[in-house]
Amino acid sequence: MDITLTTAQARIPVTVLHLQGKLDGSNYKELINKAQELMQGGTRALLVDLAGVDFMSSAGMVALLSIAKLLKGQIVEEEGWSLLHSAGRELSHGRQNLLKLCSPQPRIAQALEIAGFDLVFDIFSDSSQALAAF
Amino acid sequence: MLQTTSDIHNLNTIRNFVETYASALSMSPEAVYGIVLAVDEAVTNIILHGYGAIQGPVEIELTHDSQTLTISLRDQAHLFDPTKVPPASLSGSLEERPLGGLGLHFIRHYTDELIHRALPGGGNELILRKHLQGEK
Repeated sequence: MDITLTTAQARIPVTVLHLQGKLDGSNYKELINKAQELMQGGTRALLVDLAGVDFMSSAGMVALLSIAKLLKGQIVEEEGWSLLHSAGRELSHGRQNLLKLCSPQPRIAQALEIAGFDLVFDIFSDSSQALAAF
Repeated sequence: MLQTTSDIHNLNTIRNFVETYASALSMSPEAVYGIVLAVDEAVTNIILHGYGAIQGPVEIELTHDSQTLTISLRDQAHLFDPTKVPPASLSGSLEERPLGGLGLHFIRHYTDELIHRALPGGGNELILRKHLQGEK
């Protein structure tokens, strides 16, 4: 998986992570580490552009949930469903809007839906829509 | 049959092996993606949770007849029967979902049958079956 970065000025500055390739158990921590690095550099809002991702397992989804928690300044200790649960609980107390997803390929979009991610994250069909929602 | 080790970096090779086999059958590209994802999740569980810090063998065997694709995953990790894990319910409370069950949720969604057996010499065999007719 390759990660390239761009920045965009929405209502707030947004860093866009463009992912390319396959996101799985072998590399999901790279994505978390990259996001952590950005946050240490002052990034507060992230858009993950999934257009170039042709495979994503649950490990990749755990990475996205971990990043959402990190953006809220929380320590990530859970994995799997419990992480999804806590992310969902937080959203029920008001959407945080700091991490959005865009442009998933149809098979990835279906898997995100099967995992219940459409209930937890804003997922947009293109990046301009996503940026307008920040 | 593919014989490999529980190195997480072998996932790509394993996915390619399954994709090549399944693509030659009468399966839609979506169903092929689903079965590749299911195998990835099952092998990831073997590597990260079955073996953990130690390395061991992982064997993937694919067979089929006119109606069913069968994938057997064999390891020598400690006994774990994922079929005993209660199914996750998306309509129920998220709290009820077991730890680490996200991958298992995909396995159940994208396959039609999941069987576990303890191997006589130790280790596990996990069998994933996918109907080739009326695939979901």
